[in-house]
Amino acid sequence: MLTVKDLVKYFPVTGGVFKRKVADVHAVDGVSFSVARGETLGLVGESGCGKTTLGRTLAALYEATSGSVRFDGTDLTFLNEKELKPFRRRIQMVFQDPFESLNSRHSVGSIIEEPLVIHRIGDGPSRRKRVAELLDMVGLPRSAESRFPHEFSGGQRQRIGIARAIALSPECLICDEPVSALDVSIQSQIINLLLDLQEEMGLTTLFIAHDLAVVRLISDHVAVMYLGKIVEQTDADTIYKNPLHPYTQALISAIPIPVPGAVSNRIILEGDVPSPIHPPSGCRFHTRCSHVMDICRTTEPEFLDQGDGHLVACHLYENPKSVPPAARG
Amino acid sequence: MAADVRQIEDPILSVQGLTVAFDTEAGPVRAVEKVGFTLIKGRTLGIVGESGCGKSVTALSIMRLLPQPMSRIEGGQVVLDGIDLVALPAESMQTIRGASVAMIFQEPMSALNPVHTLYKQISEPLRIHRPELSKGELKREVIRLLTDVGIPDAEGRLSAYPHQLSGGMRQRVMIAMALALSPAILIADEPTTALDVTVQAQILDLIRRIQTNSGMSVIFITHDLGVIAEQCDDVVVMYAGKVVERAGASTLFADPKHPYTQGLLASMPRLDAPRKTRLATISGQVPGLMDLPPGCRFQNRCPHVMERCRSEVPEEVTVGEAHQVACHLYDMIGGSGKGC
Repeated sequence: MLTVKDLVKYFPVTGGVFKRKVADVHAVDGVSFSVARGETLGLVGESGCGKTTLGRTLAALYEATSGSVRFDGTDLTFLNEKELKPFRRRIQMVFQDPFESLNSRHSVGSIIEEPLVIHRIGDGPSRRKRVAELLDMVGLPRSAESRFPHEFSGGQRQRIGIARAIALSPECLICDEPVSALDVSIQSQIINLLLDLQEEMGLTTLFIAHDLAVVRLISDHVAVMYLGKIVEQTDADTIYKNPLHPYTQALISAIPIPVPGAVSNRIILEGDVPSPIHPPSGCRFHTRCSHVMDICRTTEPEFLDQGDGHLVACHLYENPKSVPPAARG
Repeated sequence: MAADVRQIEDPILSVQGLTVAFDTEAGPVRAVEKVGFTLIKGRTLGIVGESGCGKSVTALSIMRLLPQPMSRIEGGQVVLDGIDLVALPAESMQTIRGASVAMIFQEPMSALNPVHTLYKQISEPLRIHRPELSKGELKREVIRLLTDVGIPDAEGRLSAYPHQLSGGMRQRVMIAMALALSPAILIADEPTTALDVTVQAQILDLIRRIQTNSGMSVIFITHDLGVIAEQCDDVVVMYAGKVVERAGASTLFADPKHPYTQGLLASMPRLDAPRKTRLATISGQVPGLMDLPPGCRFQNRCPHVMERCRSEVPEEVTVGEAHQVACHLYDMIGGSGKGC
C-alpha cells in the first residue's frame, strides 16, 4: 500500500549576511519501509530523530529531497500539486497538539466539514449529515457542531482532529503523536477510538509516537528511528521481546515499568543525541553504543534481515559468527 | 494502630489541611482543598494525578511560590522541623527556600535565565546564602556541583548559556542549582516529563544516586505511574484538588482501593498486555474546578457511585497499614469495600 524507498529530507541551514545555505539538517536520511494495506506501522524514536519529518513528508506536506514514496503504486514525489490532490484525499493526518491544529475561529462543524468543501464533496445538506455522522463516530455529541474548539478539553479536541482526518474516508492515516499531549485516562479513550476506527475503516496507519507501550498496543510492525535512519524494524511483539539493535535495547529498557521494584538491567545511555547537522560517521549510534567496534566509526551498517523480516542496521549482526548481545542487557 | 507506625519513622515535612484558592474572572476557585500528607526523612514521596489535579499547586504552596496576588493559602499548615511555613513571614521564607527545601521544575529552559551563564546562575544561591566564600572557593564549588550532576567538562561549561545545552543537560544544571545549599528536601515537579525516555532514565538515576549519598528527602510530582513505581516509596494520589488515596508504593500498585486509582492503573498501556486490545478507560472527564459537584468529586466517572457520593464529601479512612483512602465504599461501619 505504502512503500517508501531511500527517502531523504534535508532542511537547509542558512547563515551569514546573504543567508546562504551553510549546511543541511539531515532530518530523514535514507529511510525505506513498506506498510501493507490495513496494517499499522509504529514509528518510534526520541525527539529530533526525524519521525515527524518522515510523517509529514509522507503526507506530502514536505517535499522530499530524494527517494520515493509510492502510494498504491504511484510515486507521489514526482507529482505536482494538482496531480497530488486526489492522493491528499486518501492520505490524512492527525496531529499531536489538538490546541494548535484546530482553527480557533471556526466552529467544530466547519472544521470537520472543511476537507469535504475543499474536495468538493456533496452539497450543503449532505455535508452536514456527514458531519453529524462523523461526530457520532468519534464519540462527540451532535451539539458540538456549533461550538468552538476552546470549549473542549484536550481529549475532545483530539476527537475533533480525528473526525476531520476521517471525513474523506481516507485509506491511509498518519498519526503524529496523537495521544502524547493527553492525560492517561483520556489517552486510553483516544487509543480505543483509533483501534475501533482502524478496524471499521480498514485504515492503513503510520503511528508516530515516543511512548513505546502505546506503539506496541496499536501497531503490527514497529520501526525504530535514530538520527534520521531506521535502525531496526520487525513485528510489534518481537521488538519488545527480542530487540537486537543496542539503541532499541536501551530504549526499551528505559521504559518505566509500573510495578514497584521491577527495574532491572537498565541500560543507561551516556550523553545526548548528536546534532543532525553533522551526524557521526559510520554508524550514527557509535558515539553512545556500549558495543562499539572500530568498523562502526567508519562504515555505515547495512539494514539486513536477520530472519523472519527482522531488519537491523548494526555491525554486530553482519557477521553471522558474531555472538549477538543478550536482549535487555 | 498500624497507620501510626509511619509517624514514628521521623517525618520531615507534614502538610495538613492545605487549601489554596485562586481568583478567577468567575470568582475564587479552590485548586487544592484540605490536602494532607507526610514526607518521611530520607524517603521519596510521589504525588500523582492528571492535569489540573492540584499537584503543582501543592508543591508551590510548600515553597510559598504561589503566583501573587491571584492566589493564596486559605488554610492548613506546612510543618517543617516544627515550623509552620504557611505562617512564616516572607523574609524568613527566603532562608528556608533553597537552603532547606529546593525545587526543580518541568521545563528547565523556562526555569533558567537565558541571559546568564551557568556559572552566574549556579553560584547565585551560594553567593546569597554563603557570602563567606571567596571567589576561588565559589568557582570550585560550582565546578564540583556540575561534576556531581554528571556534566562533562564542567569547568569549560561555566561560561555557557542555557540555550547551548540539551534538555537533559539543562535539567542537570537545574538539579545542580537546587543542590547548591544541600537542602534536606528536594521537590521535583515533573522533572522528566519534557525529556526523552533514555534521558529520563539518566535523570531518575541521578536523583536516586544523590539521594543515596546525601540522605535527602524527595517529593516527586508526576503524572507517570511508571516513574512513581520506580522512584517512590510512598504515593499520594490526587484528583480534582483532593487527595483520594495514600499508601506505600508497593501497596498502592498491588492493592489500589480508590476507584480512580484503580481506573488509572487499568487504563495504562502495558508492555505485557496482548496487542490490539481495548484499554480500560475512565469514562467522562475531570469536572472543572468552577463547577465541582457536591459530595465526591469523582462521582460522575465512578463505576461504583452510590447515593451518598452525590451529597457527602468522603473523609479519609484507614484501610490498611499506612493506607488511607477517601471513598464512601470504605467508610461504612463494618462494611467491606468492594474493589475491582
